[in-house]
Amino acid sequence: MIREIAGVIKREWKWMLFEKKYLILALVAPIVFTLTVDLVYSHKKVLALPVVFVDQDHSQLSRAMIRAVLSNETFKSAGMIGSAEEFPEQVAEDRAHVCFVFPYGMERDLKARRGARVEVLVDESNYLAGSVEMNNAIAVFKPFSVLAEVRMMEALKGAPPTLALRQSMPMDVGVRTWFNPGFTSNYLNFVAIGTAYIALQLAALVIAIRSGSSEFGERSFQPLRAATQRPFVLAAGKVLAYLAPVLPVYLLVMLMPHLFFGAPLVRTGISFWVVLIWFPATMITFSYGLSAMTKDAVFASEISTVLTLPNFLASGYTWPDIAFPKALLLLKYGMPMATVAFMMRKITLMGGTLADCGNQLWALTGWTIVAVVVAWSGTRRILAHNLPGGN
Amino acid sequence: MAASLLTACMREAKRILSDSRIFVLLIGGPFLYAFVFGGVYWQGRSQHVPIIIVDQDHSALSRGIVNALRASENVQIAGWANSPDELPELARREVAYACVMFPANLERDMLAGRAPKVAILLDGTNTLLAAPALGAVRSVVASYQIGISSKVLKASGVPPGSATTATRSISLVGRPLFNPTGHYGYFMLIGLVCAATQSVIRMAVGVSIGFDRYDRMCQELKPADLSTAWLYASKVLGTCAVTLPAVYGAVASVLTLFGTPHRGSLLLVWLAVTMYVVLQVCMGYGYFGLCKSPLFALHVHMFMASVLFIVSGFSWPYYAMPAALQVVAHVLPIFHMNCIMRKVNLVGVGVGSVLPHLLSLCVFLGLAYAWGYSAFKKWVVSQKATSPEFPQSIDC
Repeated sequence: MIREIAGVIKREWKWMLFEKKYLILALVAPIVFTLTVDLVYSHKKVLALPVVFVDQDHSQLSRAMIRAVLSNETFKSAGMIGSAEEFPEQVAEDRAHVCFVFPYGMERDLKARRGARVEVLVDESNYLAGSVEMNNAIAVFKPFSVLAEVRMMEALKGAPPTLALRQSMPMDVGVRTWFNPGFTSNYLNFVAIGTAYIALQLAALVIAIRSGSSEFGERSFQPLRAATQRPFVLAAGKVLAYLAPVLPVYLLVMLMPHLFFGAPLVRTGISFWVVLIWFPATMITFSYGLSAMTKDAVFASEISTVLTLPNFLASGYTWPDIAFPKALLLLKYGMPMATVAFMMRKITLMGGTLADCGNQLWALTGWTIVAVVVAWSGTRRILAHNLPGGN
Repeated sequence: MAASLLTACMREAKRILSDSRIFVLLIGGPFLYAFVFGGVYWQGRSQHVPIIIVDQDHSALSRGIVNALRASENVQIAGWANSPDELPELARREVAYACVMFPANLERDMLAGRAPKVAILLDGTNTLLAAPALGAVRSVVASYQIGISSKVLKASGVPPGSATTATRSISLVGRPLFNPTGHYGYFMLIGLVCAATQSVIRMAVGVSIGFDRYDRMCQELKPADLSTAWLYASKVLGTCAVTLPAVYGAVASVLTLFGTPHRGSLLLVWLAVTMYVVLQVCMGYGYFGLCKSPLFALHVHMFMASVLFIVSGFSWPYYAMPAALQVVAHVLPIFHMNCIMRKVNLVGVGVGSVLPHLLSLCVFLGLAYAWGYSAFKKWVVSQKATSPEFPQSIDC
């Protein structure tokens, strides 16, 4: 049987090399895709956001605050404007995305123990940039606020500085982040695996999408031999033939964010290898079956498009599934990439194993069963067509 | 001439509407994505993030903070744990994504003025999950901080008004403009529809031209007298006639059904959408010319769909990308389209502010039309070579 499977593999490889452009696309596109996307996130955080200032106070304090804002790497000065009313126009022209307003009499009010207010206008039309802007503004102003409170405590209570400091911050929040320590700013660690799997999933689907449909006339120069007319031999040979060139690409693409861009890779144990091989095998089996069932590679590709295009954003990988309407939760598990991207995140980023992938394991098993059934039906159609007397 | 052009347009529209492979992509594509993403982002914010509590203090203060957290819509208490070490395991199993820990003697230390810490441990693998949890804990603790400081001052004999001021000496007032609730759907949805539209139009055009045959076209348009340039124009117009209503509908559903604000001129939105659709149809021909097969063009577009959206800077801002990629973003039509859609709909700007983007779209439209025409001409030549018998009346 092994010899027969090897025969099918050889036949498929000849077919792959017959029209090389499909093979090259499936193998090179994921690498280019991942490199490009990782490059987009290579700064890892939003840097040098243009900010404008409305300084109506013109005081020592407002100038110190401006210096503090500009010493934060997130912000870069885009100049001063006369009024906050001008800010929307600045946003519209992409000249600034944050505006700090220091109101008239800020320092005077603070000295008179009346408290002061700094306004931060944030362009929230880009949610990701807006969140970073707001967090960094809070971080910049917190020391000023604490210092002012300490001074007031000293003045009001006559408390010594150390006691005043403790009383101005009677309780603190200590934050410890697991798995992705720079999470508020390091976006690359968070998205790299998910985006890589967009391309990897496509590679597995695209490479085998002509393997079934081509048996219905297109490959008359490569007739099926009697030995290859057993369903298991034919299906296994085809899946293995396409899996062989795809696997090194999977490995390379999974390692690229780690090797080139410093993304973490906590664990590469047996769980990693199981998921790395299992998913493309399932997708190739599904793609081959779909191609044979539809007898039309274009139609099969269109079905794959519907299945893959919304994957990344509707899979719960970025937008969390707890924020999905309940009726759409099935969507998450109905998309093959979602399961594997979560599994890989748990293994490579969180140091987990297959034992931690409960729901995802079931979903991928479900997809494997669907793929095998589709491939089996497709194989029977191919054999019925190619057997003497078949139509 | 006009009648011939109309006939050719009608032929193209009929072909698209009668071929399920093209029709489903062109008509269903924009709607499918508008509704899938609109549904997914319906809630707009990550709420009720499951967290666990480790209470080693068992004091009135820790119970008070837990009650305040329970009232927050951002988090949901999934249970109590004995130690924060349980969080990694629970996070891997998707049971909880954050742990709030009250250390032993929290209340006692605070009453003694020793500034104790409330610890929050976060699963940082998803920023959109961790940020609401952190925000909820910080805001609850900040309220307690202010309350405690104020009480301490009052107890020291400071008048209540001065005590409150002293505990909030400099307050930072954040005013998120254009999307005040931070609704994720308002920020993403319109850009996703533009990205999906780009991909499905290019794919459908590739399939459409790939399965058309020049000799059949000549037979069906026998009485017509159209040059290759007019034939191309008729194909573009015919495709747009079918595509535009679908894309208008998808954009309208984003603005009405899914509530994305539209503060600017709707006319400007429709003008941009029209230009964008025509541009994508022409680029569909151009890409087909490069790929030379509908299947290969389809595969190329499948790979390009997501990467073009990411590079366009719609989600991750283009100004946070490396300089070389910022240049690439500017030469993508989707970048300008997304800028127009975001600025007109969310910021509410007029023509003046988006003029550079509109002009860029015009330039791209001209280039795409020329590129598509060149690809179409090559297709005609190759078709003539394979079927030499065709009516001379439609010869280019």
